Amino acid sequence: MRKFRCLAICALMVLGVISGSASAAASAASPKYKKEIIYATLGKIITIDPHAQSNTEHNYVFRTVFDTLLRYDWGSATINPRLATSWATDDAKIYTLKLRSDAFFHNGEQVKASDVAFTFKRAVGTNSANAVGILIENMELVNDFEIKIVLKRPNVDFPYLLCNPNASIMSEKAVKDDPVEGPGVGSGVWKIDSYEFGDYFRLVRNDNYWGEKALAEVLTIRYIPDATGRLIALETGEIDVCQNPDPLNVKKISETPGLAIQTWDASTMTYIAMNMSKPPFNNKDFRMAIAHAVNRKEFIEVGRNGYAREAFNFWGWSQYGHNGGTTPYEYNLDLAKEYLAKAYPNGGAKFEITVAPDRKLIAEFLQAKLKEIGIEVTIAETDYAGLTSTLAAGRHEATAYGVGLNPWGDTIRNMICPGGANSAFINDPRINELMDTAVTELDDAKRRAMYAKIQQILYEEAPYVPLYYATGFLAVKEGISGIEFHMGSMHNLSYIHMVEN
Amino acid sequence: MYRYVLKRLLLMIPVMLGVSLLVYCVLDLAPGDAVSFLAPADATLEEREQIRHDLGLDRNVFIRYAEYMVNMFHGDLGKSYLTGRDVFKTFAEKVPNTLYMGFTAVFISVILSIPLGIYAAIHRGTLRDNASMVFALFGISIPNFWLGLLLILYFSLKLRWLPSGGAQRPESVILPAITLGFGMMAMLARTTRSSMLEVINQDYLRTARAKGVPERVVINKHALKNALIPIITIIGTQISTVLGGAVVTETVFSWPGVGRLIVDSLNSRDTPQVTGSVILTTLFLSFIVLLVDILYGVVDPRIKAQYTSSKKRGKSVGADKQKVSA
Repeated sequence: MRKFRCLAICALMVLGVISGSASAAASAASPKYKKEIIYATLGKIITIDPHAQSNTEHNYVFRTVFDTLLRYDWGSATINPRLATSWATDDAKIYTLKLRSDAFFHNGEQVKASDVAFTFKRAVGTNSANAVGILIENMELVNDFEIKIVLKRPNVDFPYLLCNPNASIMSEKAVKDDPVEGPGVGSGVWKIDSYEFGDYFRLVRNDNYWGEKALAEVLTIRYIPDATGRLIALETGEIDVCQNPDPLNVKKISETPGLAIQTWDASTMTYIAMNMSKPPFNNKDFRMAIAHAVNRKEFIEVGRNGYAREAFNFWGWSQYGHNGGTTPYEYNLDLAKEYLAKAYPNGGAKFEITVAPDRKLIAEFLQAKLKEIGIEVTIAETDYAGLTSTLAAGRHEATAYGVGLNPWGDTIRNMICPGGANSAFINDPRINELMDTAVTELDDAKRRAMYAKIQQILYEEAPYVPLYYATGFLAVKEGISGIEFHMGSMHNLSYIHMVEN
Repeated sequence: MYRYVLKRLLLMIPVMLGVSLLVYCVLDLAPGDAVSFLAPADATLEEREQIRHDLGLDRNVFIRYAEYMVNMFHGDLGKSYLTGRDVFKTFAEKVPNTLYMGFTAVFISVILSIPLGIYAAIHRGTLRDNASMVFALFGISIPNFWLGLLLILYFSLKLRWLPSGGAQRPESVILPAITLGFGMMAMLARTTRSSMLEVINQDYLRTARAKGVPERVVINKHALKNALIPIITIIGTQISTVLGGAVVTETVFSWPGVGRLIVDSLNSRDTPQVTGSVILTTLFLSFIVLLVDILYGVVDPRIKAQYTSSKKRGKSVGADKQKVSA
């Protein structure tokens, strides 16, 4: 009996050692992740429908809750499969996409080709997805997991558009069953748990996701509009990520124990637009005078505390067809004065610049710099709603503004062709024709040559003075990782996580 | 009394019409509209016009207003341009947060300021009185946003006792309520002091003292009750301010209340949401003011008697008219 007891104790000890080392190994292999990540934004979220809004904060939700057919990888600059396992086209007009058969919406319905067709039909006439919807002439369901999309005219950029959050695939059944909450049913890594517009969005991990699952269990997106409030909330530990800290605080944050700064090379370009449709900027010499009187480096210091890269031409640095060889406007006050003398032989040059409060500093700096060469600038400040309507109606003379430029070539169309966000009101038949041809051109070299030519025309016509691409910042708790950065700041938070000590 | 209340209720109609017309027209005159927030950045002019047409913004402002008011009298405050959600429902979602913060602030202000005001009045002209009033003066002078930031820096950032914002945790209300309550407290303490000073030397109090009533009872029962009318007025005004004017505090503390809803909607030119919220706030404020007026009668029998006598006068005038016509 005693022997038996000894044997039992020994056996237990051995088991204990084995299980102990096994659990130690397991814990070493699988780190413990923070259960909830709280991400504070400066903009509020007001819809769960990807066809209703398309801005940074909404896209945080859409990119995590929904899947798109394809996925653009900024690191490798390639398009990759997502819900579509493959895609093919011979003429950039008919695209055939095969879908994966193991993807399910959060309501349990399988993702099928009919949902894709439903999504793109629904997109027509919507606020944010119309641009995708109107390209499509018709769609043919080959089977449950294969769809043929026929475009109205060839478009080589179409696969890129399928990567955008506004092309998120929605559940036909969910939307038809419940028009209010149904548009929020996606098939993504996260699903919506609860929300209050203008306050918070609580997402929970989708444990039935077909791909890699999220590491955290809950992702809360909180609206804290005040920059100081956001930063304090980070410092007190109430939030884990603070969107867009003030560039003036970046150094301080990076020196604070427990906090860190994560950066990305953003593709958002800040520029000065000059309205070519009316005086004084219908005068090319006057535009050239402004272009040569601007020292981009100084503007980077003033506008971004030094955190930006110079924009040498009016094209996204990561955009297809970017021609780094285009001559940048030389900062040369003598040259600027020469152009000014041509435009205003008797002096008296003046104009008004209309800006929102966040770019007033740029306008004030421009005002001071142009005064040195005899140009009088007055500043008209208005809020965002006022500015957008002023620009759309062409009531402005000049403005300082920004644009997020995507990786595809045609992304800049709305800035340099009539309509859209073309606040310089440039309407050059050469550019219009080249843009129309380039988007249908399958030959890479020919297409790039067209875009290079457009950039040269833009340089010569000077509708815009490109200033800089601002460096993007997130202030985070040390240990936060897994954010897939988007150059237009619409990051994918699907795999955001924090390893707990 | 009932006639008085009915008259006051009927008076709310022109007030609401005036306020809503003003808000509607001012929003229409402001540059920009909700299209800026609904249309994507690359929307063409035609697409923007289509959205404007869909929202009805291309029609005359007075026609839109008239339609809005007709719908309002049918109990429909419309749908938000931005979210497409029912205006009343959105407003109602935010009201509990605002009331929670507001009433906590009023509670803090009342329990601190009335004793402070009484204390200052009793010790009139002394250092203690001056110290109390300097403290109250601070409360009036310090801007809300600044005090809010100071409290956040100390209690959230330095001591880590309380959250710096949001409404997710029960204790989140403490700092915003103190911020809001501090300004109220100052006003209320000063009013209590001056009101108490008016009654504290009245003959009936002297009589009470002469009859041997303890000083505590003289002050708390006889004096305070008669000094309450201006205090109730201030409390009523403060409750009104809380619902419509706690914008700054709500912004500093990221508090999801009515004030922030109105400001956000205003910035995005969401006319139905702004107009609906303002109408509901006005209605609420009018009810509070009416309630305060009724409370006067409860506190002071002389005022109640005035209500009643005016009713009787009305009746007798009516009777006289009948006699004349007969």
